[in-house]
Amino acid sequence: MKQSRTVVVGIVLVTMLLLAAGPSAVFAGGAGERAAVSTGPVELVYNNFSAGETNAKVLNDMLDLFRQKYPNIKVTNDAMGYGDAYWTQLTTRIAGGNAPDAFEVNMENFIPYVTRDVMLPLDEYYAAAGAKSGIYSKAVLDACTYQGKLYAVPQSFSTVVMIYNKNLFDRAGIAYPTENWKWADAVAAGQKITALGEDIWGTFNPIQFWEFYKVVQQNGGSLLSADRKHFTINSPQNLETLQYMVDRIRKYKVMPDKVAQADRTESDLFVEGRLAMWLNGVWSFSELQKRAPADLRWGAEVEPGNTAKATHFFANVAAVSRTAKHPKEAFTLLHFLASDPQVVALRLKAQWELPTVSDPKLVETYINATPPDNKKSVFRSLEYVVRPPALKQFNELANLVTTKLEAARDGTLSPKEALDQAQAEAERTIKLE
Amino acid sequence: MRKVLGKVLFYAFISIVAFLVIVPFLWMIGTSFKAREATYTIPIRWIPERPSLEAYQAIFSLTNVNFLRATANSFFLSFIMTVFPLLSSAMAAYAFAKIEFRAKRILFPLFLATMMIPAAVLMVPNYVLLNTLGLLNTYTGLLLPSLCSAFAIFFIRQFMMSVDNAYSEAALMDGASWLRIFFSVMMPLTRPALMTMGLFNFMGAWNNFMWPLVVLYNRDKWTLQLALGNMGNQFGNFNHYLMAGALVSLVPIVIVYLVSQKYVEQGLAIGGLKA
Repeated sequence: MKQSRTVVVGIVLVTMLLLAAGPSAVFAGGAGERAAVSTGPVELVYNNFSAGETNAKVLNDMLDLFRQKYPNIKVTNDAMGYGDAYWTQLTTRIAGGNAPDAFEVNMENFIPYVTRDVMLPLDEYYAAAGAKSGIYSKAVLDACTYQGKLYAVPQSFSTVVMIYNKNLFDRAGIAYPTENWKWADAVAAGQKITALGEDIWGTFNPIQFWEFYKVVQQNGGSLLSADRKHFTINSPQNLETLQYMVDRIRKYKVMPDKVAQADRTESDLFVEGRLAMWLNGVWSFSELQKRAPADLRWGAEVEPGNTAKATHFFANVAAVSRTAKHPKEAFTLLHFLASDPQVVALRLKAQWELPTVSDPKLVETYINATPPDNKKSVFRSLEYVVRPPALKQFNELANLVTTKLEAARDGTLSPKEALDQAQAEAERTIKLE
Repeated sequence: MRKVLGKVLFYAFISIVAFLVIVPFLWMIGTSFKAREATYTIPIRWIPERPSLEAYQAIFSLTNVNFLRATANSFFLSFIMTVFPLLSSAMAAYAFAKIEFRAKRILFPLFLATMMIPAAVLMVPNYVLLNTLGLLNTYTGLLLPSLCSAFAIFFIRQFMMSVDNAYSEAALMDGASWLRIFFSVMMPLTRPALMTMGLFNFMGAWNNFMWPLVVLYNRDKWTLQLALGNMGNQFGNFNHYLMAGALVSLVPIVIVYLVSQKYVEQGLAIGGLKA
């Protein structure tokens, strides 16, 4: 009996030891000094997603440059890919009170996060660094502003262009797209290319929320009224737009429906030479360069509009958490990663989206690196950018509209029904301030 | 004659079903060896045009997360999450099955009632608890909620109840303590139940994604599923990378299943009793 008691006590002790070995230490930093960047040891955690694995090495090189300049600041690079897992982890950490010192959000999530009061206003740090004007272009600073205050540092931006397969255009005997193309031109070219053979398609434009809020503006419509007081999802122009988007699949047959697409990704179709025109962001250039076979010639052009042109503009911005212990150092990190000349050169060399600094010389370097051909279209697109609706409940709106749009795409709802239902549900569930 | 025909039809049928089940795995293996080409094609390309090990090389040289390290972490955590719950559940099951004590009638239904709560509901309170205790981003915090399992207690108890008391009584008469009886007599006799529960625990621990995602921040501490999930986000169109990663994560679990299957099939040791 004594023997077993010893064993039991032993087990209890081991368990207690396990428990005691756990508690994580809070960052041992000094009190944040406002005057200058701290010279004592500082530890920062930076959560980000836009490097992913493709540009992970580039980001690490950038952080090495930062370490050389500020050897006392140790940065933990918590990088993840863009996806649900990133947002789950970020939201959980912030909600649990363990927010990283600096974290990256994309433009659409800027409003939902800033309105929940988790970002630190950065105006004083911008002023101290002399960065309020003259360094970043106005468009990207706008993406970091809320109610007149700056809450983030813009890290990179991308535009969405129409990528096209030159080989297919040559085979069909038609001229390459130009900046003056309208919807009708794209459909006509698409039909000639789809006629080239079985399972060859003229175009692919996704039918989902991000596409929709932009394409409606190519036709003079919009999701919100001009005063942003009510939704205009089912306006007559929007109905015309959705009808056009669906007609591309059903009437003109230049775009595959779900059955014809058979779960193949657009990227697969494009690298196989089965897709002529593909609307995608400049972030996909590096991936396509790795995947496309050597004989595939491809170019880019500003996407066609109808009564007007509208193109996408996406920015990734990085904010400092309200609970950061070293806000000044965190801002210094983000400002360095966005604007230091050597860092910008690294980004351009890797073709990792576009830097947010407004230096015309940099544009030359970017444009001259092909494929794809005609890269100046990336910057021409900037003339026509539209921003996503800035809403606290952005994600909810995106989900409900996408559900209805997909029903219209698959034929279970008519375009009119889809938009009417989306309008009703938006009015019911989304609060407009 | 009828018998032979019946047998042939039966085997033909199960062969077809087995083939249908295997087909996705065959595609997975084939795709993991593809390189610079479309992965989803019509007609389906089973054998890559230019087979290459590029995908495997890529996943073992990721920058953001060390795949090998993540695999090792997964093994370590799964091992603990298999052995510990087994030990604690077996002891509790023994108490509930063989030892008479007054609170048994109240405690056992209580334990069973905890099985009714879905894991997703428990996640938030557990997270808040760990946060208060300062155990976030530690393995201790990750392991604590899974250290005991009501289902395992229930399962092993049922099995132990069917073991004849004569065994433990014989050991008692030879002067064994309760602990000695437990380890030397009961555990070997309930081996099939233990192996089955061990297999369940291992599979659950190996495949666990949500809980490690919210608890672990450091890349060094990440498990294999987190590494794979992260790859899925970044390499959406590089399906060959994803298939290679999935294959690598499948191998250990298949091995564990094959090993424990032998024990699970082992018959009961009913013999040895005098009538």
